[in-house]
Amino acid sequence: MISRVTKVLAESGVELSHEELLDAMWLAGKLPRDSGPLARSTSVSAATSERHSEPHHDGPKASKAETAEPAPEPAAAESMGEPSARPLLASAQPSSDEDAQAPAGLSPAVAVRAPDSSTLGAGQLRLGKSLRPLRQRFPDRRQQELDVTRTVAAIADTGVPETVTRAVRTRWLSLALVVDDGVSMVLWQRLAADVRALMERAGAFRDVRVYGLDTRSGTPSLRTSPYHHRGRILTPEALCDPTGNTLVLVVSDGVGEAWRDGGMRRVTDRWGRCGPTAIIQALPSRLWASTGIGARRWQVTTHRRGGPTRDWHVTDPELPPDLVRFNSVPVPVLAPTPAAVADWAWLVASPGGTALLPLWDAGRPGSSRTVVDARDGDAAEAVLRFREAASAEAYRLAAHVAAVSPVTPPVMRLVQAALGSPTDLGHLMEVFLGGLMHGLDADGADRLPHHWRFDFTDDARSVLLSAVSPRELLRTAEAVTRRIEAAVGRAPVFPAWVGHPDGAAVIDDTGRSFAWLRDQVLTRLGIPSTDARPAVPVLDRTRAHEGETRDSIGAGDSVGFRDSAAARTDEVYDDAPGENQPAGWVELLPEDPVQLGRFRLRARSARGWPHLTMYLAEDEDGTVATVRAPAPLYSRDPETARALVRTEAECLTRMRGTGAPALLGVAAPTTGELPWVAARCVHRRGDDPSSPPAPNLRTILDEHEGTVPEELFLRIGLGLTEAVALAHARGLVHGSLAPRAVLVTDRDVRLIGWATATVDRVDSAHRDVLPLSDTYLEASDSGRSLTPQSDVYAVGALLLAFLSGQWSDPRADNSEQGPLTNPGIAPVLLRTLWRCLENDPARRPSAAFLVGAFAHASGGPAPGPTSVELVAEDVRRMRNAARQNMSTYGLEFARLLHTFSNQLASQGRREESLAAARESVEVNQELLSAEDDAYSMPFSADLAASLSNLSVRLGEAGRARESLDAVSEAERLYRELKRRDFGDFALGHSMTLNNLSNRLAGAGRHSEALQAIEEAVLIGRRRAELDTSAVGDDLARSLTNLGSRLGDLRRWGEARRAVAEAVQIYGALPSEEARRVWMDHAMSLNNLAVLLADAGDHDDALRLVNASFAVLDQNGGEGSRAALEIQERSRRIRSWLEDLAARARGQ
Amino acid sequence: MTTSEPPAGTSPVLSSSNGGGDDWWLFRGDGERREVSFPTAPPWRRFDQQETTTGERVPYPRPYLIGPDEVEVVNAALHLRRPLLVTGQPGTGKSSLAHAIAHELALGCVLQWPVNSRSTLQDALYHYDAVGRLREATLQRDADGTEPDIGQYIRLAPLGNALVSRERPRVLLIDELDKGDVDLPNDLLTVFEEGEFVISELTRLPASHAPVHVRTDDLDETVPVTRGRVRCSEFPVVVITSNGEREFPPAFLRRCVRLDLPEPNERRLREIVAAHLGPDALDDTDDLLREFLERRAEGELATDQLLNAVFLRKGGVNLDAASLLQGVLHRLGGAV
Ligand SMILES: Nc1ncnc2c1ncn2[C@@H]1O[C@H](COP(=O)(O)OP(=O)(O)OP(=O)(O)O)[C@@H](O)[C@H]1O
Ligand SMILES: [Mg+2]
Repeated sequence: MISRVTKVLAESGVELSHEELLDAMWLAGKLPRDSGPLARSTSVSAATSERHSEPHHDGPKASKAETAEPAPEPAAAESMGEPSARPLLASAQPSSDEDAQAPAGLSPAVAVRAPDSSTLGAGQLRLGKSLRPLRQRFPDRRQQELDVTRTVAAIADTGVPETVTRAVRTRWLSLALVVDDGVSMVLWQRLAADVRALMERAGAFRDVRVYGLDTRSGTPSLRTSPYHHRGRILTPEALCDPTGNTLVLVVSDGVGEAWRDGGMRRVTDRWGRCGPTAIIQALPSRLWASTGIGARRWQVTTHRRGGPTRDWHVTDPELPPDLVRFNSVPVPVLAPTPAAVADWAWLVASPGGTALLPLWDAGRPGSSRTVVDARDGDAAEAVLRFREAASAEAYRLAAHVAAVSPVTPPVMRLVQAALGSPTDLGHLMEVFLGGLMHGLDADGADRLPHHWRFDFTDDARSVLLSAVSPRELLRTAEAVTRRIEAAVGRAPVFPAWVGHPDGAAVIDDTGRSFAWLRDQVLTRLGIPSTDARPAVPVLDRTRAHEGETRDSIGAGDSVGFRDSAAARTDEVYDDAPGENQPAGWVELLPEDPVQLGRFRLRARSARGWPHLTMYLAEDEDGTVATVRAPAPLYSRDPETARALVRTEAECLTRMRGTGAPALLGVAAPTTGELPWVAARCVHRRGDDPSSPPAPNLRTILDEHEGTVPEELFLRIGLGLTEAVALAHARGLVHGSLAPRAVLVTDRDVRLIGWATATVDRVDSAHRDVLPLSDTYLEASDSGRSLTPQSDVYAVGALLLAFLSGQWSDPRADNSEQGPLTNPGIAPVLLRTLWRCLENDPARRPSAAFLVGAFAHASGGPAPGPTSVELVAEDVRRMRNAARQNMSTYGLEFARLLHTFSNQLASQGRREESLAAARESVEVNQELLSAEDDAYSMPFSADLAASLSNLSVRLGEAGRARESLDAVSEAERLYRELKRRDFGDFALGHSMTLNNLSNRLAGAGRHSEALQAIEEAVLIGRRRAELDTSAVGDDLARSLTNLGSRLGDLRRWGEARRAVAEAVQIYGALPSEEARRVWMDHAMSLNNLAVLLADAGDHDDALRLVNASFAVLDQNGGEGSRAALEIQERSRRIRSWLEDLAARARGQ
Repeated sequence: MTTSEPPAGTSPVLSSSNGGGDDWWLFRGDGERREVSFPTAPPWRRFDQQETTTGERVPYPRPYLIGPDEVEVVNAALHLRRPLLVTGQPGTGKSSLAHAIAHELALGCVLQWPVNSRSTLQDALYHYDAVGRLREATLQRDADGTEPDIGQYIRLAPLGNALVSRERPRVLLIDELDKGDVDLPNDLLTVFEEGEFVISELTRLPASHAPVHVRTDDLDETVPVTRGRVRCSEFPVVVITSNGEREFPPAFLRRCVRLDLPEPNERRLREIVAAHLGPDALDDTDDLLREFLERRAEGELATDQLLNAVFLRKGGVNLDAASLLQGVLHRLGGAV
């Protein structure tokens, strides 16, 4: 019986878990006959796409379904077609005098709390988890508490009742949440509120204070409360906590003026000097560059927990440190996603570590996304101007918003979300700031931001409306309606007005509603049902308004809301076997193909592979195969379909029938036919094709009723890890390891579901097709490109869950990560499995290591390498690949070595770093030697960069001679490259010349050193000539070095002139740039001071040193080692000068 | 917690022109000392307890109104012995539901566990006063050579208490679970699935040790615990409240019965007012009700604020509806 019910449910898109199913059955037996009572009570959401997540409401449906009356499917457009759906508007007017007749077009309405769309989305839970590292406690000496253990021990020892106390462990950081409340930020108020709630319940902070931040003018200021433009004004310094225990988190979209003109930079510099500081960017990351908060990824190394971000050591992830420098106080920019927040939280909370983080790139204020201001002139003209300047998407969005305005920010967001891609939040901002909208509430400050109403002028509206068809508008409203219905009861709310005869307010109901509410929803929102009363059919009104007749609303072609929502992947149970079909397989559906290539299809899989349907098939020889073809869903997206099939085929080819089914055939025609891939069917008994298809891990666990025997566990563990290790060795990362992807035969384990695997470190563009629940994917891994370590995580999670007998996140039940005790399984092995779940991928064991561990535990041969560094392993793998096929893998290998070398160097592993740098050079040389042209791109450029890097590494190792050789070679290359393409390589050449000149001077070869640096200066001048917008800091650096070289040769006058010119250039740099190179600036001031003092000009020298101190003060007087050195030097020069002056006076 | 300030210009200072009669003025702010007799408190702010015929002291029952559809869901949870996860707007009676169930099924006092970001599962199970025990032990051994019973130093906390084996289950209210740590739901899940927990301090006692009597929320009541294991025979009635915005792990949701309390409509509001304050409370409060309905969505008002406003009106405050609702009872939410 159960299976029948499940089947019915599964067909209607509802998947019940075991618990839910049993509950449903039990209840069905208990319910009084006459009632479909829970059906009555089903919340609205149960009637919509989200129904499957409302198990208990579905229960009675199950019993209903049993009486052979399939629950009616709500048609997509039903919500509107239904006569009693009522219009929902963002704004209403209080009704005028009671007895006055309502003017035409107005009808009564009541206020409701409509559910808003969520800003953090499904990531909410994982975001909470990603903050976990910050949840640390530290002893606070000022507060004492009873130390129970020690007290008990003391009393037991002495017999005297006395107490022992200890410092209370208190939370570590206070949080100052600074919410930019500029004009456009009303759109992100909900995000700010969600972030606040998240931070408050993270349990990580002593307290959470919220401030408003005004970035409209050059000097930003704070208020005690965001969005209320009242309240006390504070200076940003108020958040500088001398104890360093306040975390400042800014929420902004980077639109305010101060984000561009340096005002905010000064503020964050100050915060970043006191304690940890970060910015949460409200916009999606692809839009960052067009705001004042652009970011670039840097490699950040910390040396202590918390602490000012200013102390972070920032290097370019790829280039050697002397080529690119990060010269301002680093401020990380975070997207409100689990992956981004996890990286940052980990780095802030760890006692020292390295991570790649996007840092605010204030050096290059983004070319602003053209936000038009079309405010002046008459409406039609303004719209025209907007149309010319704004993007097409923004224009379309504007029309959709205008159609339902006046609107509040939540409505704008809902409309944008309903329109979906390609419109994005950036377009919404274009519309909002485009000058076509105006606020309606003069008293805005008294209301909450999500109440603020905005509108277009009537003229502007009618021009905009001509751009979209009424049908399109209807479809959007329909989509908004569905979103609202799905969110009732589970989302924050905003006020809106719904047409209702009892209402005291009035709305303009001439078709401006952004959604419709059906009675069912209204009841949930506290509005009495209006069944009895006639309601004007929405359709008629809309048509009347548009002044034209329309065909019936496009119900059929509505977006696949259900499909995507129903794509829950891993909780799928096998259906009851169809007649004559093996378990897990059912009869073909009418729309299924019967023949694909030489394969005749027999049955379709009942298991949950939502995007690639799996068929059981036979070829002409009777070989049983599984054929996978993209679900009909993809008929409209043949490109994706082909990509999926190709990836699957590529992986199966590489696996060559070990650890995965053997590939039998593939077709990915570009002619519009269905692509497919066929593999040999994996049978339960290895070579016995008459045995049924092999069970997956889930089925195995069910067959053993939750407890697998040790021997089987070890065998599966060994097989699984071998398969994964093999995949890794062949350049594959499976990426979607879940119970259903692991087939177990009586002799081995085969992995299936490769369609979205990562091949040769290139992620599939379609990973969302086979999404992994976060049980099998570490939060912080999901954002990055997948690595073998991601698979290792999944393997650990799978095996631990398998062992515990429950398919749930093993960490959920055992947050301490203490080894799960399990009789029979060696504790070492368990500990190893737990290590797979480490947050930090680098600490997870490799798959090869796991193979060894399982082999050992099953009494097999000796374990594999005990400690394998994953990058090193990668390097080894690439080295092999490159050896076999240099032309394909060489370049990638060389670059990997370059990165590897930098990583090793940052860990102080000099020798290895040097070796890697050297190897990188060698590989590049080999690559280049295979070319006809000794300077062919990109090999020569890579060689030059790697030589430069090698020279730095050699220099660090004190091997001056070799370092000089390397840099000379690099210089030679750059010289030729620059000759061929000045624009691209002049800077590289100039930097190499600087480096070369330093090395030559170090070797005492002063005239050659001078020659080199003179050339660098020439290059600098040439660049300045060619491109007047070039910054000039490169020229200034070369001039400073030229001064030193001339000084070495005692050509003092020339030296003075060179350095003076450098000082002049630095002084004229725009403030942003100046901040970036302030150390060089200070250095040049010091050098010039010494030169002047030597020439007897003590006063000017002193003036310069003081200027150098001023630069130091402005940019963070104390701090990094380099800065300290400069400061120290300035101090020495000053006391020397003062000494000189005193002596001069004394004489 | 909230940083919002009350709206300016609507300060609730009551001048005598719109204030009520003499008994309104309890505190006058004139510095004079006088004996005032306190007026009756609103029923929902009364803390004295009534004595039942059995001599048990229980709180005054509070009226509670619930629609038939919601009743169905509550019954489903009772039948399935699964926790009821109640969501809804503030003041829709989420917390009160637990009390209503306890009252109607005569399940005694509700065991309450208010959750915050510091709450841990352990805190909700039991407390052990190790120091107290040792001190007493030392003193007593000195006096007469006996040791005090360990059970005296163990007190079951709400969740632990709910899991004690009883003939009739108790009602456990886990209030505002959304305020808790991300992991708390998962921790709870384990206990709910097993229906038992262990008092580790007692597991170390020898196997032959007689059951230990540990303390509960009731001063006089103790329950026997054998070898440290507490296991329910009948799963307690668990009511979990949360604001609907918080997401919970799917595994947790799957094991709860979810009830989203709808916003009360006008008729229900009238019934609630009448139930709390008597039918004649409705007499001249139509304007209040209408004002409330109009402002509810915008002003983010909750049902209990209407009750308060009606109570004040009955107490003779002469403010008009708008000022009562907006001024005296300012809105709930802050801007962020
Ligand atoms: N349906 C109802 N019947 C009777 N009284 C009610 C009802 N709903 C709310 N009340 C009254 O409103 C007040 C608030 O109810 P309660 O504290 O249970 O709400 P809540 O949903 O838990 O609110 P919060 O989200 O603020 O915790 C109580 O005094 C209660 O008596
Ligand atoms: Mg409550």
